[in-house]
Amino acid sequence: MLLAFGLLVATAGIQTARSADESATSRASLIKQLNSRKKVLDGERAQLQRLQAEVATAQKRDLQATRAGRSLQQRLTRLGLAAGTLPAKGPGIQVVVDDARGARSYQQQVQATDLVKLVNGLWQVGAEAIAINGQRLTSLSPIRDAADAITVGFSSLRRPYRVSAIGNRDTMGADLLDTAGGRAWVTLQSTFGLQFDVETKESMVLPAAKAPSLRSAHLPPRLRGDLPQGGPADRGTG
Amino acid sequence: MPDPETGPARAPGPDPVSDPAPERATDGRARLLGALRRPGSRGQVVAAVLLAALGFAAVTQVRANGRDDNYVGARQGDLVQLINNLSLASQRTETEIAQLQSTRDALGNDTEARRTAIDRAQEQAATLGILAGTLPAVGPGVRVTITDTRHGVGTNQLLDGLQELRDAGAEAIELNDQVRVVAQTFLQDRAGSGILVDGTVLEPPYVIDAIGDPHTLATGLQFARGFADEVEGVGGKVSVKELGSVEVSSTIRPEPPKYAQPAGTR
Amino acid sequence: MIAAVGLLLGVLLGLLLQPTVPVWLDPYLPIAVVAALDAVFGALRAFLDGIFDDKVFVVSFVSNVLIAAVIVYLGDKLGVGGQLSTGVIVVLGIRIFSNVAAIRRHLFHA
Repeated sequence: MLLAFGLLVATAGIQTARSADESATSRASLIKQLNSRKKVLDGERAQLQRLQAEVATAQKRDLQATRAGRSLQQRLTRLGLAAGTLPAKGPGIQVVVDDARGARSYQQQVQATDLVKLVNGLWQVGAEAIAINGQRLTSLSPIRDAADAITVGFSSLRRPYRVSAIGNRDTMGADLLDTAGGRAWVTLQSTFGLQFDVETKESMVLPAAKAPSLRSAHLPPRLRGDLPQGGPADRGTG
Repeated sequence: MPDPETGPARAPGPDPVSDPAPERATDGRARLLGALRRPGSRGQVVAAVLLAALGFAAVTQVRANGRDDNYVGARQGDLVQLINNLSLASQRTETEIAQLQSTRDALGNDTEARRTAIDRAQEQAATLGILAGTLPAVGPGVRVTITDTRHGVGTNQLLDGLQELRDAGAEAIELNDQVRVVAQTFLQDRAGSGILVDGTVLEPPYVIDAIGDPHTLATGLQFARGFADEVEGVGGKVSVKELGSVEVSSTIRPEPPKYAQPAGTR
Repeated sequence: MIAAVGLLLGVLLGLLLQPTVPVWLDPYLPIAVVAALDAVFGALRAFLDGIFDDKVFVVSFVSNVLIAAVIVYLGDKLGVGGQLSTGVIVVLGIRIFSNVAAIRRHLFHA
């Protein structure tokens, strides 16, 4: 009796183990595949970053070897700083804005256009570089409202919004309140309770934006090859 | 499972419903309060340890349950799609890696290295120059004309328009053929007609030249309740022309910054 | 007192350490937690009844958890995993309910 029972159990067990629940395992295996591919992609991205750093260092070293190279390097640094593709450090102010406490309507929440006005005001009072929650602003960075959050340059931001601006930390704060953007924020604060706070900072580091590749815009042909004063032999990219 | 606490040999505990309350010296509640005030009996310590284990396990399980599957709602088809996207992204990354590796090797070889470095640097300078506005640019794009007979168009509308253009991929932007628009560009309203851009007075009609994909740019400005509608709402009118070639010729004089420095992480 | 502190400590540790559940443990943890809960409520009731014995508490706690795990494992192997787990949860649930009712009567005389 016991033997028969034992056989029954064993067979059932083996049967099930073989034709294991189809949908569950195939879905589980898909998920496993997904996770492992993600890991592979992450590894590749890390490798890419390392390579980019290596190439940048190698390029710098090679540029240092010639006078043309050195002046190019300086120009690249200046341009990178202005364009936002190089990290920048310096004194300045940090404006932290946030929704009203316990905000319920959209008027009590920070909208993209509010940030745009704030940033406009900061440039007006002499900011030299601005980043919002670590996203550096470049001439290609839009500030938009997306479904649930504000996006800067296609990165979603979470409140509170820290707008860091490098510049004259003694004057920017006061001057900001004189600009249309500053005044708009004072109104937002008093009418809707949005939070607005300005801090001076002795030194901030603003990260770089990813260097974009331009797909449509290029130099007018009359300028190609006429770039930075190089050595006589350097007739550019053509 | 053995019935907890009363042990296997005992009869099941008194049935609270039909039996009279057990005659103890103190009732259950008093006993509980007494125990709370008197810590440290062995029974308590044991209970503490086991309860700790329970609390730990329960919390962990609750987290695990909540955090678990990013893919809970996803169907078979969605998962397959995700896998495809991932492998595409991997392929692209692998290509970039291969390119960079060959560049790195070229930079390693001495005589070739300097020429390669200078070539690359010049390309980068061109790109950065266009971004920073110190170099002119040409390319396909749009020419947007905003008429403003009622003087209703101001910085609010134009700032929105600029965000739309950037969102639609504009790579270089110019206003009224006079002022180059870059990150640092700021707009101010002025009394009367016109606006100030980077301190320069611009009078309507406002003409925006933008380089990018013409159709994407045009759509970005013209979709319902977007920029065009906004301008019409204040009495202006927007007309967008898609062009095969747009020249953004005004530039910004490069000025060394006074406060910002490159943050060296060499 | 210490018992309550113990529970709190366990919860805090769980929140702080944020351990990740190893894959093989995944199907067993929920049912083990419920089985342990049953043991705990039973212990509380026994304590209020005046018949609490810590040795018995430990034994029942541990054995509840083990038996629950074994049943889940068996169920998986036999192919009736889902149903068997459900059955176990139902039984545990019934016992928890009745223990809680008794506890309630002790504490609130209602």
